[in-house]
Amino acid sequence: MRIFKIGSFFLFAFFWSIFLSSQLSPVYAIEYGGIGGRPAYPRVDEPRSESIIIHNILVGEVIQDGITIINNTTFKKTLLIYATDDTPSTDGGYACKQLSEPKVKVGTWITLEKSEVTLNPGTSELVKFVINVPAVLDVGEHNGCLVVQEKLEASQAAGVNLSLRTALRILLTVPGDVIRLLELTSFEVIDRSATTILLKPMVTNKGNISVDATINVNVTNSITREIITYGGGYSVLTNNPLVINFEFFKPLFGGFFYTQAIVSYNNGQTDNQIFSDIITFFVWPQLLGWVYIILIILPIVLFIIFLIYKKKRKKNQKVVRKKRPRYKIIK
Amino acid sequence: MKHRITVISMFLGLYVGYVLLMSQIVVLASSTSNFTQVIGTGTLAIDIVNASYVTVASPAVAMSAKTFNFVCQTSTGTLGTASQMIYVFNPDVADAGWTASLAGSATTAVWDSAGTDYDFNDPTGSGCTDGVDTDVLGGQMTVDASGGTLAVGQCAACVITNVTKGSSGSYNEATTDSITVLAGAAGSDDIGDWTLIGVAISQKIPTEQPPAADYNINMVLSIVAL
Repeated sequence: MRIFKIGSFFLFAFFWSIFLSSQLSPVYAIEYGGIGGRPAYPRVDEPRSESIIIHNILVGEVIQDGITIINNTTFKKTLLIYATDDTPSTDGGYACKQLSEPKVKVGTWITLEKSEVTLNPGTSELVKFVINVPAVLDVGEHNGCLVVQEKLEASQAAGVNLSLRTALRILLTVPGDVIRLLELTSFEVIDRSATTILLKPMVTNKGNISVDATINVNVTNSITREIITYGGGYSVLTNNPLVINFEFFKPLFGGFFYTQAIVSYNNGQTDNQIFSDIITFFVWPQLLGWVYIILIILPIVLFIIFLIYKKKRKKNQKVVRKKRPRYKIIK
Repeated sequence: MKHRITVISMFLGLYVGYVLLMSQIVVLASSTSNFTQVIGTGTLAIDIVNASYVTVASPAVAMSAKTFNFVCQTSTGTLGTASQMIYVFNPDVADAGWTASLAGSATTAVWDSAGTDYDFNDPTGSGCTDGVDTDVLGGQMTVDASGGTLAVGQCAACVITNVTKGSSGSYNEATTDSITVLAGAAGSDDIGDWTLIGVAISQKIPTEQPPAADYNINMVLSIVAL
């Protein structure tokens, strides 16, 4: 009896403590924090200065600026900071040259106060830099990058070894005869897979400055008249056509659709819209769609067959009745 | 008597439970309560993470093994798997958009080994022979993100709208040095995170490439705020 009581006491104490702990213990969410940088001196008059290094420049000008280097990981990190030229990436993307590559453009204009910093977890440090604008320069846009990359020894393990880095675009514009001109070079509809169709507009910038445009693709179902719109705001870079892969998921029951790409932008004076040709395409029902179609149609078909059969049988019975010889039963 | 023992047992049980609970709380009592909270500045980042969003220490892509052959071969691999996802993190620092791209650590990078190397950015002979680039090696790598799977990361309220996967592209020295894998337009979520898996990598291996188990190349995955 006593053992039972002592046992029940400890059991009660154990479960009571577990219950209270579960009610009051702190719950930790999975957090992610990377390494990178952000402009140290964002300006109210230029919202994009929150994200990138952006200035209107004059030839021969010297601009003081800074970047806040951030380590939001849980480890102490040594980070490299370097300036590079820009390089085109496929699909009209913006990329930065590698540390190992020679600089010939904006990358050479930047002089950083420090080329590396060591940061404790969750800390940041301001690194100042100077932009020395050359004395001779074309009107328009000049791009470069400020890159933050962890200082690591290159791996020699077999396969593709990956390094990671974060960069800020440096966008410097020399005012003057700025040309903003976009062209909708092509618009393709590509049957990508069993479930998706790619709607692929290509927009080329024929001007001398990046243009922010709204690029939309409308897809209309020819039966239901339902319109799906893909797209939004995109920055179209000079000398690098922008290609966007919008994914249209094939509807279960397929159908006839028509689609059109529309590019809207301001050329500095007026709002412009460019329309592509309308492309019509057909989508077969998906496998599950076929199953549904069969399940819906089959009973109707069977019912019709039954009616036909019934009608035919009735007709046959009439014929038989007509053909039957008339005779009398003589008792 | 029995009832009294039971009540005492209950009281002792409550007391021990209370003591155990207190032992887990590390906040020391004082006459005034002082709550402090620091929220650090976020940064646009790209990473390779596991399913729990923990950074993978040495991310890599293993290519399919090939045997020595007298014809040009294609080796394949996948960048972004369930245990090594490409992860983009934007805590409201790239509102005008961003581009994530993959490039060689240098335009002169090669598939390096103790023996004979081969190239990753020479399109000559469909990537099978050496051309007029800076080296004397053949070989070409193709990256195709268009068939990958894009998903929202930890942000429950975010969407993948206006985040698009890149088209298939092949490296070509001084012409195509960087291939876009993912792009966020201005209309994408200003605060959001996304994962991408299933980026197809294929590599042309020139004819009679000597057998070796140590072929490796260093590639750089970058993200740029626009």
